[in-house]
Amino acid sequence: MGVPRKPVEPTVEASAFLEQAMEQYGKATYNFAYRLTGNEADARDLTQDAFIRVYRAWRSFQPGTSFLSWIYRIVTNLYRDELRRRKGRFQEEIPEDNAPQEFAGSRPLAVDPIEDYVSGQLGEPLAKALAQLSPEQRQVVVLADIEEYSYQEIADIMGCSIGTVRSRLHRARALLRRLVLRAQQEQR
Amino acid sequence: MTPHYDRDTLIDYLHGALSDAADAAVLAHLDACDACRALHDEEAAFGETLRSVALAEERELPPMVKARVWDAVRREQPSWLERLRAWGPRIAVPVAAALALAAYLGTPLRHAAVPAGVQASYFLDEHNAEAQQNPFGPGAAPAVYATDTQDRGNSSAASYIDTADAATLDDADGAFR
Repeated sequence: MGVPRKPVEPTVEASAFLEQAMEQYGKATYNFAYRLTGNEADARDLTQDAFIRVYRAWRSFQPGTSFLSWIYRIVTNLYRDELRRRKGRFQEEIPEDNAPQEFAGSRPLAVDPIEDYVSGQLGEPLAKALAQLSPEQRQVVVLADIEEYSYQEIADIMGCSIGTVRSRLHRARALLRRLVLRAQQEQR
Repeated sequence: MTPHYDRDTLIDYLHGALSDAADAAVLAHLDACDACRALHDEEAAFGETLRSVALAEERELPPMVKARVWDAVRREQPSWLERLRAWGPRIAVPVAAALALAAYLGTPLRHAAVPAGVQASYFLDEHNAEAQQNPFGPGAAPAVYATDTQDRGNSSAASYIDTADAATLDDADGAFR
């Protein structure tokens, strides 16, 4: 076990950058993380880790470019890493793009009974359907349909081709339609 | 007649992902085709519903996230480069002054590295002074440096030292070359 490092004051420039970033984009980043993970606990961790990365790598941010695109990319990569880590720990399969996740109605990552209760009270079949998409499909739907990014911007954020973005979005929307239709039929 | 468009093409159209020509063709077709218009409206409404559901669930950033970020950041040891950058303006002048002082002191130190030369010149000057006081004494001829152009050209310091040392040792005739 290593010796704990003595706390030091962060550099002034990096601190100012971090402060401004959290002030202006903290809410958007947290909501993006929440839409990806589907629960508050994971969204908090993801947002925290993303801003720590921002602090470490703030000099690599290109002024004049979109900060949101930059931090969304950070969040996306962290989320992907976290899923891989959990897969290794629990030996779970990350579903393919085509396959909906079967969580028996629960959230895809951390299980929060209060969150499930609130979600149930809202009764939004679409919100539940969104939670059943694979992580990659959910990312592309959130970025394209909720954040309204272009395919090119999504490709840059997710680190894939425009063709992959296009096909993932088509499959995700087809799957969402089916899931919503099924949920509506079950409610009747 | 233009064939109907499928859902995927209409999704791309709604996201502005078609080429200019394809976009214009779909737009013209939607004006004339009720079936494709209905499909287009269905997909557009689906996107709107997704956005409204997301907005309904929009939440504020919990203050604890910020606090945890700052806590983590303060525990991080900055890299030496970051530390240098942070201290740069404050230590630039002292460092520059120290370098200048080192350069100034370094120059005579290099000269002092040839003490034999200093010692030899001392004996040489002493010899010449004695010769002036007693011009007819033994070894009265003034000591001179080697005049060989080649020697001087090779290494003045080396020839100077060798010659001077010889002057102190060889007093047989008081002169040397």
